Amino acid sequence: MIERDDPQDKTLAALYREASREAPSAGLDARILAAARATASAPRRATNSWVNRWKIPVALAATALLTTTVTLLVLDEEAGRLDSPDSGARIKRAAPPAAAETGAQPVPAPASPAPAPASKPAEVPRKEIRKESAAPVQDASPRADREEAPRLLREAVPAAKAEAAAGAPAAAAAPAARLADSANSAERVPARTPDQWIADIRRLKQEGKTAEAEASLAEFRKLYPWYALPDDLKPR
Amino acid sequence: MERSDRTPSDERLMLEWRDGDAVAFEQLYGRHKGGVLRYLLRQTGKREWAEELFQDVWLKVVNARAGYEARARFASWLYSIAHNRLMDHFREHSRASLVSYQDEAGVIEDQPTSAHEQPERTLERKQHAQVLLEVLGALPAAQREAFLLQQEGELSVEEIAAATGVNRETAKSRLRYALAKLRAELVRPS
Repeated sequence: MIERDDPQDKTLAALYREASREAPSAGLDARILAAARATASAPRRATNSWVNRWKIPVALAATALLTTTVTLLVLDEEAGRLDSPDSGARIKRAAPPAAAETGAQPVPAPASPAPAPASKPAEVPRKEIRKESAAPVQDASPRADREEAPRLLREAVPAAKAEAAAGAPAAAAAPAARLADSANSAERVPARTPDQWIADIRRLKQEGKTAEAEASLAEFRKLYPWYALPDDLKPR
Repeated sequence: MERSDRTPSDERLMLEWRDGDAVAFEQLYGRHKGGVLRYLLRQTGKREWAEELFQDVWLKVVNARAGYEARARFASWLYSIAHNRLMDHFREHSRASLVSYQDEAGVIEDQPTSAHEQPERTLERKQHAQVLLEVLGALPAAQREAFLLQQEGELSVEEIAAATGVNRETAKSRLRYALAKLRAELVRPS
């Protein structure tokens, strides 16, 4: 709206209005008014319709319902897969490749524990199942054996060293073979400590069984050449 | 929605039409169709182009119906659409017009503003009107636009500035120079 302090000239304005009287053609008017009517009629129904008012909330609710349903179905299916009878078999089938990676043999199922109920595997996380499947053989051995092995190896390694120092043919063998040999020889060692063995030898000598004592001492020195013998048992 | 009086504002008519009243649009269109067409006609110089742009402008109004809100005067909004469509037209078809629109510095001259010398003594009123249109057509496009927006759209200087995308001082200057030049040409002895 023209304001009072705007530059204006009423004489010019009047003159311009007198000269300027062009108007759009009737055809142009008709086209524009038809377009306006066409636009006005269609959306008016939609605006007043209850469908228009409710379509967004209903669409949102339907989307939420669908999402929830699909999520629940997926979760149910996942749980059903783990609960199914062949789930254990599938886990076992998955285990050998993992064991092969570590070079370990497939783990035989322990005989003592009772078979787990069918639903049990579902509670075990898959990571743990795989970890146990891939565990080396020794882990599956009875506990006593597991405790014995380090001791045997501890005793066997120095023996193998002694053989190497003596120029034995075994010295040329691979360290693994030597360890195995040592372990085998260790199996022949009585289950007593060197100190106990020394005490036994001393007891044989005191009892006058000199020959037995000498033989036992020779065997002892063969197996424990690094052992510092007490003065009374040192060879003279 | 009820009309409160016999001559509802443009904005009221637009809102009524937005709400589905086709008759409101017809009233609105009747009020502004001449002004918009003449604005476009004076700026393009060709009736064919003016009608093409005119149709585009009103179809934009039609299509903007659903989102219309009366934030400004309807006329200001309408002529903004017309101005933008005109600029597009200049870019597409008439580079010379666009250059003329943008380069107004060289044609602005100080003109005497004593506008009270009436031309009716020397020329008949009809002749004066014809001269006015000729002089108007010779004005730089931006100055002519400022004059046309004031006369056809009844826009204030503020609204002219908003519609044409310039600041108030520029719009005011354009309008002042347009008026001064028209006066000067009309009083010049033929």
